[in-house]
Amino acid sequence: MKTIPTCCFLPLLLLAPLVAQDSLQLKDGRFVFGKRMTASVDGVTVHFDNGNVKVPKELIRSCTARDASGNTTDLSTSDKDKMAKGLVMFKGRWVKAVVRDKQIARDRVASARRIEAAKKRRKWVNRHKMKTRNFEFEFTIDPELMRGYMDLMEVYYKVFTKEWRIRKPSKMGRLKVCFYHDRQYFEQVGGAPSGVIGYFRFVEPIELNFFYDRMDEGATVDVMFHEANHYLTHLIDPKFHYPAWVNESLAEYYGASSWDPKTKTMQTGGIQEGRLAVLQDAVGLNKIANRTGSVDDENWLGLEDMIRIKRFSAIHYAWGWSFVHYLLSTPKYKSKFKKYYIDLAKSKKIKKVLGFRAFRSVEPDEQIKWLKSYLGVKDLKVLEKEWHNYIRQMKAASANGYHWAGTFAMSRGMPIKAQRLFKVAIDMGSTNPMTWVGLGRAQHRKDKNAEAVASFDKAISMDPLAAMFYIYKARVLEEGGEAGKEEGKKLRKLAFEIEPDNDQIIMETVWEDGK
Amino acid sequence: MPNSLSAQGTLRRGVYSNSELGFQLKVPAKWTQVPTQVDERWVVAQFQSDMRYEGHVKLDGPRCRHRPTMRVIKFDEAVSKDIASVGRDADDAAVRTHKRPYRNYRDYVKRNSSKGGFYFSVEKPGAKLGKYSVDIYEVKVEKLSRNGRRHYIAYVFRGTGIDFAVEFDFLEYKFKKLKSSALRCFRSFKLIPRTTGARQSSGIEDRITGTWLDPDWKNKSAAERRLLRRKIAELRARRAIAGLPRGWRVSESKHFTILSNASKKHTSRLVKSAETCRTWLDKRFGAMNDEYVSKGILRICRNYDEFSVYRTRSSDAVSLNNREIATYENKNLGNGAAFGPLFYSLYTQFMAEKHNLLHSSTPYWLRSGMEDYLRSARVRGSKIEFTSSTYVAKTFRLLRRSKVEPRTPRQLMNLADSQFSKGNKKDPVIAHQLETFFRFIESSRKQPKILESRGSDFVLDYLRESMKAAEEYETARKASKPSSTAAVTEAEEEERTRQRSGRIQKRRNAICKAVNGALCGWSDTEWQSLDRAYRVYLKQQKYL
Repeated sequence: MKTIPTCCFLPLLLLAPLVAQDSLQLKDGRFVFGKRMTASVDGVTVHFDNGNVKVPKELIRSCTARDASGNTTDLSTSDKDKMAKGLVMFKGRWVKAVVRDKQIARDRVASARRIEAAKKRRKWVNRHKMKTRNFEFEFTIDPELMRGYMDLMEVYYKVFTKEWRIRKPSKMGRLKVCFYHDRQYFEQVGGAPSGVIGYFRFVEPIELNFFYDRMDEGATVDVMFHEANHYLTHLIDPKFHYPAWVNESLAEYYGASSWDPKTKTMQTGGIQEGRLAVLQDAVGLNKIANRTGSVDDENWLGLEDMIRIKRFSAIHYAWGWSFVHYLLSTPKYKSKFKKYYIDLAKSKKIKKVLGFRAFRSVEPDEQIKWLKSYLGVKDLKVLEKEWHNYIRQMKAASANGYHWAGTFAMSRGMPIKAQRLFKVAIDMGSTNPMTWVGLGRAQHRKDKNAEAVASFDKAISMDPLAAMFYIYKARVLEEGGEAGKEEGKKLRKLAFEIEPDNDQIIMETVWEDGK
Repeated sequence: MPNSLSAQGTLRRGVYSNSELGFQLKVPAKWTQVPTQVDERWVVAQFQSDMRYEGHVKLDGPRCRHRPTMRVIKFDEAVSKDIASVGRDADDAAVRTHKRPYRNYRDYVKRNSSKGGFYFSVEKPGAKLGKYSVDIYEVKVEKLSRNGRRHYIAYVFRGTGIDFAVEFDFLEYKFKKLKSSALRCFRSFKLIPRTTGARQSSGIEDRITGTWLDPDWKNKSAAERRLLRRKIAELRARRAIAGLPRGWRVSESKHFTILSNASKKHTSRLVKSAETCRTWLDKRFGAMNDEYVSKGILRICRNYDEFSVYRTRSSDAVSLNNREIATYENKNLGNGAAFGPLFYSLYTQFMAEKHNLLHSSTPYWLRSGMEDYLRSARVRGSKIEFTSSTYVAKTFRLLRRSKVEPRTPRQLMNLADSQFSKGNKKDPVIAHQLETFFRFIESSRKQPKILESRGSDFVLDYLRESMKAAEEYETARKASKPSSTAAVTEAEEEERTRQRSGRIQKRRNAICKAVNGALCGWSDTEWQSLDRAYRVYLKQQKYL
């Protein structure tokens, strides 16, 4: 529902009464309030005290600002006659100025109401609630945006339960799915510790919690597939608790599924490119060509070690995912592994032990014994070798994969390598502004300040209301003498105006200002 | 500046009044006051109900029990705006200190809530309550809540320059039933004339530190350092005593200022144990260096519920000078289970004051062994005993059954840091083996010959050598630090990253190697003799 009018002509004198405090709602659920705004054909300019920010039309869902600009050069004679009679063009029709002004005022009020209502809904207490056949959704994002995720969840449910022949126990109702508009709110309301990006609660009240990542919608879908997979495998036997190595790994496998919103179909078996980047780095495969590294760089994880690990951490998710990916992509193991997975919970011949809250589980020795038996391998080392060889030939093939590889290189303190990887991601068509931010930060680390500013400008043009982008740019500019410092300071203030409640921005701006 | 000294109120006949801050309110009947922490700057007073309520069995968990709590939190306009201050360091250079004060109650909840996922279910700014304008908030803690779902209700009253948030914490399951007691309390709130300005503390503790973080620490003489630590300890004890509600008892022992709300019997038993342990620490490790170990505060709460409210503090209520140990009376636990953590806390504080690098640099085999040894301490009469747990025996039994030999002293003392985390069934719990090895070193009346020949006290020598090696390592690291030329190629960059990775492990391994080199340069025969002595010990313990 777009409310940006397409009228093209309005005498400049009429601009004055339209100047007011406007509001703006973006498609990703963000808002801007209490600032003067000017609408134009290609977007809306928000007039902050510390600078103007042009928001492209593609990002906007609704805005109270009304267009007043037009092109007078290509008017026909009849148009000029109508103008002479005091008529104005409005939404493709010639109307009296009074009529237009009244309509604009009505539109403004309607938009303001709509935006205000949407803002209210972002509070958990006013959250949206919707039900589908198998799920009960509670969310703070835009319902239009949510509809896609709801369809996706239902399709996923159907595909997975059919493929794995799972039936929901009769007493289990719909699963509650809680979806938040951003990470900060997810951590606050969901109670998730920092670093967690989604969780499935498998004890009463059973529910699934995750958030909408506006910078990376692909990641949102990944997390959703991952966490929903925990629910679907929970349905196999709700009294059984799967060991982490097999549970998280299978969830990661399904997490990499791709989704086509038009045909409403999903494709499993994709590459978790972020995980692959981590793995390749761990084993030295991510190194630059023609360089032999020392042996201790090749930090391969053994299969038995992985099964016996007590705390399954982020790096183990990557290993686990690659192992399950190998098994499910290899015809001779695919159906055997699926049977093993189901039978871990269901088969009486596999010995169970009682774990916490009376959940049944299987000890590592038993897991190993039956894994070998189901897959038909005598020695785990043989399987381990096949798996490691499989990892060697996996490749990150998309912009997203290179984006993650670049991000990982930055986190390891390797800005030269990161620049190369981010550039590849951009060449492959990355539409993620964070790729440009990553590139800019890497360039800044290597003192390529002019290039860094250009990268940040590109990121800003893609998402002009991401306040942190201005901070990154300010950091670079402030290294360029007094003029740069002044400009940087202004940008910091602008960032603070855009996101006044963001703690990181407060630290960067108000503290910097010393007030 | 902490408020314990500057803004004490009084609770009389159910009315809490604080004339220095200028407010008073009725506290629900039979609620008791709980002290706030010495470094607390926001919570003025807190109270706890003597009634304990159970949560919903299914939604809050079967063991959920909670006593409602009330807190008065102040938001001083001047403090909230004070986010940066500029001072001067020893070289007269400008030093900017950044602070992050809470802006208002909403901000306080957002940054301070630790009970689980929460949201504001009611927000009514500018509501009227009698003659006062109040902001009303209700906060629900629902998801991943610790100890049951909660429901907070708070009224924020606007004073002159100070806002007061009066907050109640109830179980969600009992909220409807108990809400009225909170509303009665809100209605009783009155702003009263402030009698005097808040008294200022001497401020000495805000400016100084009695820790190794003081860059000038090592240049001070032992007497100066002792004086400084004593001064700080006295000041903190005074503040803690001033912040005590009625009913708490204050006493002094040789090494502690004791603040207790527990029974006299428990207090005297606990103090006796703490003194015995501390005396043992002095005797055993005191000679390590000439560092004075401060007198601490021992705070004993009446029960776990009181302890739990006491330790809930604002996130910025911390100080490097804190030498307080808080504990509580638990009638269900015996000597070992209740006092083990106390002894461990005493030990860590003692070691931290002896040397700042001790904890982070002592080779892992010794640190792990010593820590578990201390955790197993029990006091009998006036003696401290260290008894190994049944888990240790279990570990050795498992080794025997799996036909795996226990690690030799040489293997244990040269274990790389990374190996400690790789325990699996064949090598079950290395920590138990390390504890046993440390017990072997400590328990023999006479040290094994090989260890004795290296000095008067092998453990002390080893700790001293660790401190020395750690200091040398730090100096060398700083000297070799940055290669001024930045990496130009990816190959150089990768090489540097490789060198940087696992820095902490590398550091500890290097220190371990240096200390072993300096103290344990034994021949194979000497190592074998130590191994024999250790095996004899294991046989005596029936571990082999």
